[in-house]
Amino acid sequence: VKHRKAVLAVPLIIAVLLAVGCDGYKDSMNGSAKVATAVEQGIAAVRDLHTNGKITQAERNEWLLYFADVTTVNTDFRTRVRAIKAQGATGNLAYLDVANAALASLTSVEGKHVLKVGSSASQAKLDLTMHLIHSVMNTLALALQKGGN
Amino acid sequence: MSTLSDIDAGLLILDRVISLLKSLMGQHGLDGDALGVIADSKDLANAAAIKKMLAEPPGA
Repeated sequence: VKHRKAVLAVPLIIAVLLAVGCDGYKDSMNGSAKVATAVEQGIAAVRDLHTNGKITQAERNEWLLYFADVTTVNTDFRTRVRAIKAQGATGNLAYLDVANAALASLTSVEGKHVLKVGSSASQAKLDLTMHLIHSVMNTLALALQKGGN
Repeated sequence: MSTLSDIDAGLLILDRVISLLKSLMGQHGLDGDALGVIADSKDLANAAAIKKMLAEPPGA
């Protein structure tokens, strides 16, 4: 019975490992696409909150400027990722520095803007978007670090 | 000890698992370039939406 399990388990493990193998370039682009999606959702949330009178125009505009800066960071991130790929880099570590730099830029951008709104419910909703953006890049950096090479 | 039928059964299951993984990868398996293009277009659309909203007059 033990041999039978081994016969079944070993190739299965190999197949799974091959299927989910790390790819620094692809993971980076996937993370960037997720950041862009989070920004897209954030813009929609800001629009809805403003339309429904939950946040002021000044508050809306500050969040929009924050999202604009995040978009710039995200675009720059992909430019650097493509440059690394063009240099023929393989593995994950080549992309880790770029992901960490993008993470630092996002932290800087968060501190640059006054992202406070009067409504606590609206604040919670908007903060969630900001945390999502940050955690996507943080998760990418951790994955690249864990993937090694 | 494993018999030939055990191994055949194992290979059959493995084949099915790989098919399932391929199916899943096909669904979510865009390559890096394609994901980059998606991110490019989303960033552009986001930047345009932000610019448009910031240009709206107060009270709009």
